[in-house]
Amino acid sequence: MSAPRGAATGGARAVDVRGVVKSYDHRPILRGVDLVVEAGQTLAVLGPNGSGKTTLLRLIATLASPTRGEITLFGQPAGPVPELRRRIGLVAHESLLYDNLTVAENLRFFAGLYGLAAGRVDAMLTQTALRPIAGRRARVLSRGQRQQVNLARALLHDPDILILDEPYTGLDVTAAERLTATLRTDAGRGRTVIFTTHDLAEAEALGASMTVLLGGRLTEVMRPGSLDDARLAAWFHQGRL
Amino acid sequence: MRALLLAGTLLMLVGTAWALLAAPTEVFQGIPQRIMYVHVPGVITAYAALAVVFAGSVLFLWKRDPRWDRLAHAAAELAVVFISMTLLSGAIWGKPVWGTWWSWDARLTTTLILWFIYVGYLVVRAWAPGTRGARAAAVIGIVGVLDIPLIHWSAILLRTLHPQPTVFRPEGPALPASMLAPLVINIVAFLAIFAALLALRVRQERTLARLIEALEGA
Amino acid sequence: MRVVLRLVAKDLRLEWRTREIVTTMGLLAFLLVIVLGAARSDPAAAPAAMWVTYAFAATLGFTRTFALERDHLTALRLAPVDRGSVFLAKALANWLMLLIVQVISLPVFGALFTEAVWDRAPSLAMPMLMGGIGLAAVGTLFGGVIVQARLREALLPILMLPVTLPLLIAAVSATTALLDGRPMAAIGAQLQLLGAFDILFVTISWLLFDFVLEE
Repeated sequence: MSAPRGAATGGARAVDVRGVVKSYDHRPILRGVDLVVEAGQTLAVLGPNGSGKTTLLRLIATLASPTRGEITLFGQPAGPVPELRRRIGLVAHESLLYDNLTVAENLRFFAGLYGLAAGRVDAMLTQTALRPIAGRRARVLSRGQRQQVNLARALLHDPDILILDEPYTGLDVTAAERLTATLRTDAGRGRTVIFTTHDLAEAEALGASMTVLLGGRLTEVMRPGSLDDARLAAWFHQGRL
Repeated sequence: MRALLLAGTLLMLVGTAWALLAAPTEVFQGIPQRIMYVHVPGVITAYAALAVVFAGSVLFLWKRDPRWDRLAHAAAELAVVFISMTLLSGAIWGKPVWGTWWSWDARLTTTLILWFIYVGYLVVRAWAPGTRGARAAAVIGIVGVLDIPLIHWSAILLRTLHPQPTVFRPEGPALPASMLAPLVINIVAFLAIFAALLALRVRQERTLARLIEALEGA
Repeated sequence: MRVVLRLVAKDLRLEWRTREIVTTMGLLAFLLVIVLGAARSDPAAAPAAMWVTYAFAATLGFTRTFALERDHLTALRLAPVDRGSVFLAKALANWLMLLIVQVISLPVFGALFTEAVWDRAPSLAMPMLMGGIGLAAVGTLFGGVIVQARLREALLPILMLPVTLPLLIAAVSATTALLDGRPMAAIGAQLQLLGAFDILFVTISWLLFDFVLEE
């Protein structure tokens, strides 16, 4: 967090996706996706259920590899490279916490995996105001609390790219507001943030640039405020671009 | 491939006829010994199939190309077929000659275990379809073949009744030429048929894959 | 290496919280001992009974440890930890749980079959440990590989038992000899086989585990 992001990396492009096709058992989910995300940008990928948003995120997160095409992160080809993975933080659709460990134990475990100093967990607990529930097992947390802890887990190692898969799903108004607030506070740090949603309002709340995934392809990236509900609904209804 | 199938069938007809009718009768075992002309080619082809499964599985995991997986899968199916044939023909041969349908000797035991392992390969593909299942099966394909020496070693730790090898010996085959000829013909025939069936099966799966891709507009 | 220990500690801590895996494995083992003992409880039947029990306890337990992970494998994969470490950690955790079952079932075998089990326990440790390692290596590899398959709990024994048969044969043979009062020197061949099996399968499983986790 001392040096500005993008300084030591090969350019201003955090994510570069070119001609990516991803098929599972010969069935294509993504049919040719091109996308450029600048370092420090916040991008919302919108799309109806089943459009392949999760698949796209997992490809960017180096958890899967494309059937065709290529993905580059900070100038490096995306792959199972530890140094690259250190720079990625993921809040997945499902909770990645261990149900029978406490919040603190979960965070300490992940901190250990990333080789972080012991004090980091304490700092994070304070920073995110999670200390009151630090001793509770993940199993008993509410959906909103679980999301908070997952976000804390993803940010522990201070990644350059933060990826969130439908982070607002299942959150009540309070939890959603808290999530938006946390992400806004964090945004000032120059992190690249990519998240998916099917709700325009969530994207707008974070001042995100937007792109829509339909029929396995992405629209061009649109500046905040340039998309309205009606147009989005029409697209979704059509099912393809 | 069609030529291969025809050639193989023809050879097998020739070889089997020769084996059953013209080949000399073995002194100690009598007529039942003629099963050798089917049993031995069966074993050889089974192990050839396993070699293909191994190679296909390794290449599939390495290159991630589904073509290798199709090859391994087809070979595994044929391997199970030929191993079954070997076990059955072996049992049929054993009963009149040794007086028992089964014995826990090294070679028989190894072949039986391999049957289970490669049936397992097919079961995994059935219960875990798609690429995940293919990768799981590839792991089994590799592990199974690598296990062969250990299985054999452990089976020897039990007993051995199997007739000593009369064909593949360091000094050369101990079978008289009159028996060797139809045997070799049949071995070639079996391998030819195996190759033809393999090609056919692989082509089948490839067409299916292309069909799915076309329907999905990939 | 420290990462491996961390991962193992995590698995053990998780298990300690619920104790469900060791309990189910232990119960099954206990049940098997009783059933097998009821069928034939002469001393000669002990070695086979012991290893059948360990093998089935293993196939039951090893599916569970991966069932625990499910989605968490995502987080582990994303962490800058190499796959080999994930394998070693899981295998180690599996092995330890099997070891616990082996140890607690020993008295029961002794009581039902033959007291030689207790007398010879120190030398029995060798085949038991080596056999356990091989079972854990194969079980962890296959367990990981079929995580997404249907009928996981039925599939693992189908896959594991044929492949580990050489290990089981050698282990039973060694156990028989030791219970008969023979010295360790007499089971050299069996220990060699066990050793070869362990080395081969720990290595292969470690190498192939990468492919297990791919997407």
